[in-house]
Amino acid sequence: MTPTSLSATAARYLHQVELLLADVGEDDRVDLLTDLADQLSELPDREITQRLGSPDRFVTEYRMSAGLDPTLPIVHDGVARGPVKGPVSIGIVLSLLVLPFGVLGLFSFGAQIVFGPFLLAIEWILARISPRPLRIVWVFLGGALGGEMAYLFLDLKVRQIDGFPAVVVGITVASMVALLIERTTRLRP
Amino acid sequence: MDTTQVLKGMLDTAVLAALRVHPSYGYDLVRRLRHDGFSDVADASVYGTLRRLHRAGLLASEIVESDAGPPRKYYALNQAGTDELARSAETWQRITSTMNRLLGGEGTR
Repeated sequence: MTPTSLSATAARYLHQVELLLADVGEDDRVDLLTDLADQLSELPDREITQRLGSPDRFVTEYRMSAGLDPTLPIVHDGVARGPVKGPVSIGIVLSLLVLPFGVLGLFSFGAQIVFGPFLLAIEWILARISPRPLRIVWVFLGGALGGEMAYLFLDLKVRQIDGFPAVVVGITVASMVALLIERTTRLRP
Repeated sequence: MDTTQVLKGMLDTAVLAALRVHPSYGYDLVRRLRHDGFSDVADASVYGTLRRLHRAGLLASEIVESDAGPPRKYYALNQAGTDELARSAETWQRITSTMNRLLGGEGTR
């Protein structure tokens, strides 16, 4: 949301605020940005931070007054993701505890089926908290793991579907899992 | 004495009182409150307070088309907001009268 009447500095300020409101409901976000755009259009560039504070400070103040969680989302390369909160932190700790078993499980089919979902969860969390280039790595690894699990399950356990059909299903599942991780770890550009 | 904190504590009442006079959108309200002496309160606090009071069901809202830009959401007091303002005004009167008594020396007798 960048009205054309705004200076480059004002537009940048507005964009930063918009990113920091990524997890706020659309109605509230649009209302605030419309009001703020009005205000910015009347402020000389040099007075913007003097009057409103930094974008971080502005949004923190807004969130506290609005009765929202004051924790700001993480902004990386113009992309905002929700803050790492309690349940995610617990998930990270649990996942790290299970990780060694999951890695060992890669050498055994049964263990892989058991621990595969945990590894997938770890990769999702890592994709969620990583900057953009690294996130893509976790997306691909997550997809590969999902596809491999599907392939092994069909090829080894369901004897009627093995060989080439299992490979096709594996690749399809891999693509779907990768797409799912990519979509759910990207909040808004 | 930190005036900002005192004003912040009264911001809900100030917003309700300002909207009783006539409906406003966010930035209009910021301007009016600043003009009326609330210049020490962060503008973001006014925007946030407005949204919170609306969510609490104390304000009605209406989208109004604007010649000067995008449509704006105007807020006005509803019955619940009017009742809340009456309660806040009563509390405020009690506090000011107590403080006036204390500052005037009557409360120390």
